[in-house]
Amino acid sequence: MLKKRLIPKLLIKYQTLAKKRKPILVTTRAFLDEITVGDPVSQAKIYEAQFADELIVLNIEGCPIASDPQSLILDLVERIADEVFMPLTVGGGVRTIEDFQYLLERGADKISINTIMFENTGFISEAAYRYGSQCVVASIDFRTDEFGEAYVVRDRAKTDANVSLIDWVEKVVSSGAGEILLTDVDRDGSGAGINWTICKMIASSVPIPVIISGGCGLAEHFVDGFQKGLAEGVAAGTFFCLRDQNPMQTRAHIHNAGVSIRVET
Amino acid sequence: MKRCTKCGLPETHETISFDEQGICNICRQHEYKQSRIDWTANKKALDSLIEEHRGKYDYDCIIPFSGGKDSTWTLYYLVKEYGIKPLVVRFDHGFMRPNLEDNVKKVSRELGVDILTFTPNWKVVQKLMLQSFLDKGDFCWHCHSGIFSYPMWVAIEKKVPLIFWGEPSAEYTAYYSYDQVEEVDEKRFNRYVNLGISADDMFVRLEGKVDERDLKPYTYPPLKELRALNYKSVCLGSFIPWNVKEQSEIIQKEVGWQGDYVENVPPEYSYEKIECYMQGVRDYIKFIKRGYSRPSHLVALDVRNNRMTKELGDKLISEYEGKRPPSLDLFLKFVGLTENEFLEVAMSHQVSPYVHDPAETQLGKPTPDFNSWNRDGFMSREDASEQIERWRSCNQCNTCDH
Amino acid sequence: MFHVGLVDYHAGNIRSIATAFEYLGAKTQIIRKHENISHLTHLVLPGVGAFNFCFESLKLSGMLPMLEEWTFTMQKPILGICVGMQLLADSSDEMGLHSGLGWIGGQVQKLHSNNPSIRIPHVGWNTVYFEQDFGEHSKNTSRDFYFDHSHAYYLPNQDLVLATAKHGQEFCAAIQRDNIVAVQFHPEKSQASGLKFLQSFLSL
Repeated sequence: MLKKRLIPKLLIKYQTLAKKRKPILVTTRAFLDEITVGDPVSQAKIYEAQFADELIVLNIEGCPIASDPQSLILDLVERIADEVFMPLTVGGGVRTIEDFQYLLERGADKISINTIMFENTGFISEAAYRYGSQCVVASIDFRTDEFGEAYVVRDRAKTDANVSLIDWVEKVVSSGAGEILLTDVDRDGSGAGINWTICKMIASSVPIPVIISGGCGLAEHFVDGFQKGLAEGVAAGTFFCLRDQNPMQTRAHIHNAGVSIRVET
Repeated sequence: MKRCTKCGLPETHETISFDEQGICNICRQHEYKQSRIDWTANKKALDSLIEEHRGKYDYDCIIPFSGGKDSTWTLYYLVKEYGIKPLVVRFDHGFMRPNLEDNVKKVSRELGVDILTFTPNWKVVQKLMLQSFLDKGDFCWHCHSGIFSYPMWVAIEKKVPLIFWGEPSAEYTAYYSYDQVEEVDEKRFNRYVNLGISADDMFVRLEGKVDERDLKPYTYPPLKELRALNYKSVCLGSFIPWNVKEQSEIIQKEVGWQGDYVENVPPEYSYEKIECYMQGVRDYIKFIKRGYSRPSHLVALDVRNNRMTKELGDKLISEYEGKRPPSLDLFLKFVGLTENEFLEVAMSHQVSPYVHDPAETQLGKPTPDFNSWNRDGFMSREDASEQIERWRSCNQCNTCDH
Repeated sequence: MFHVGLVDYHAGNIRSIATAFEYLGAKTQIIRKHENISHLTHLVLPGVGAFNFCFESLKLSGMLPMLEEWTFTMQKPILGICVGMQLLADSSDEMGLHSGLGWIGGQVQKLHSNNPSIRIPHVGWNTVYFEQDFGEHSKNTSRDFYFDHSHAYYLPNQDLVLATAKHGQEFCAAIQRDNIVAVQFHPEKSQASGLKFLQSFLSL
């Protein structure tokens, strides 16, 4: 039986530490308030040792891959891929089909796209045609209004995308995305629980896997995502960095709640 | 909270899971250990391992040592059974109790061994304790990381490839199971020893405000260097079945090792965790996060081994568990926190479904040697504030209305 | 010492496969064009992307004759992964009906299900049941491996089915005919299970 997935999410920014400019792992709260929490390669090794089901690595620096002269992100993906034997989804700054190629060559398995979907509506189908839908993850950030309706935001939630979440999701799915990564901006880093209501609404409307992210603070939030939200995967950034938790502990908890998840060691 | 129908450990215990009969995986691992392992073959493997390394290096092996019951047993057993020449390596976490130091002297003089002790920079230790408490609700990062990394550096430096640790983690948790080889390597270090934070990660969390070199004792050596040494880092408990009660009795009788009063633990467990005077705080934090602590753990071991009924165990647990230890006063001064902040931080690391109610907390009694515990090196509020403010900056405090 | 060749025809993540084999102690070499590969002990044919795109890339690379010689003349071990497995079929219905290499037979067809909880693509860790012994994997045992695909391999000849998995319907997770082994899952991305499988392949 297909298992549910526990997916640590690594958010990357570039910083100068001890006189060296390098990629650093951060966590955010509502997409703001960044706190530095580690070295990405070290964390990838740790998650590998802890049997995470897969990793999502997102460069939230905001610049396209092509304009990164030192290719810090490509170099990082290569170093991470050398340390782990689990699937890597990489995103952030992906603007061209060539970016897909560069990342896949360095060891990524799936590519997450966000901004480019707004700028070039044909991009998803082009990428899906060339690399297969299963390689294309549509990353969608959303907020909810005072009526509880979910709407899409972009540019690290700085701008309203003027489209409802469900409409955007349907468009993205029909264009050939293989998976959807939904991130609730308001709950991001809050530990207040994930938005399983919206997740369920979206997951019930699409035939492809949905990964929900934003707000995990307790192991039972993961369970909510799977059982109530119908998510195939729950991605967590802050949870494993700033809680006395690790994937193996969380996984046991999820398993105890009756969710089918990988527990072998 | 759901509990194991056999040993009583709750669902908040790390990696615990329950089968259809409600029995936990730790109990099942114990059953496996008793009935499915060929301990005779394992002992033979241990014999070979020892002979393979005997006399070829400056020391036959390295034995990381705290002076507690497990490392004392490991040292005693290997010296008595095999007559080896070990290098005993101690990582001084900063909180060694007087009786423990006496034990170390007694045991090492009785057995006749070289001891190397390393005491890390206290100012760095304070920062590490505070940071790991804030970020992980566990202030012992320096101790966990140091104890498992530092001896590996010694192994490389002294060119001694064989390293013997004590009990396998499979004895208490399910990060490893008894049906697999538990090598004490970087993978294990990353799996659960370092709380998911390597020295590189800690450097980032401290925002580069320590000398990178200060983190070397907590850094696991590169695999390349360990492989060049042809290292073999194993648990004695993978070769002989671990039995804490029996082992404690033997070392008391044979080398005069002595137990001690331990905060908030029934006195019949005087062999348990005598090596650290922050043990009470550690247990208290665990209770705040997970709703159980050391008494439950000790009772579970006895119940699992049919040495105690669950009824008696429950009675001991309710009498001793969850109390505020006197050592907390010292801890707060060492890291520059107020007691309210301490509770706030500990409660932010709650493990569902347990919800802690501080109003129900009783006060625990001090141990007889409480007043002799070293009180040097308190952290000023000024020194602690930067780290505390960083934690507060709308990332993890639950009280802020962002 | 094992020397594994990885066929690079611009359709797959070669790097991770190389890392996995190197972790197991083998030497690896990337093969990009027709060349003398007789010094190699094993060959791997990866594949990620649309079936026809991969097939055309492989043909264009000029390496097909080299692969045929390896497989049928030298009869040395070859491992197909994901689309690299699917290429061995007679045909695939991905984006139109296309012919495959036909080395193993069988058809590749889109996964489908009326059950809304069965989502396509099939992504994640799923249980693989071994129908035959394969190195360290015994017959009638099962392990979880990582899958990421929308089309699956269906083989009427049960003798060639090494392992099965289920997502909606049961499909071939692994097939074997003598020196030809092929898997739908990604052993290079399946942590301990995957490394065990690759070790078993090396022992062929």
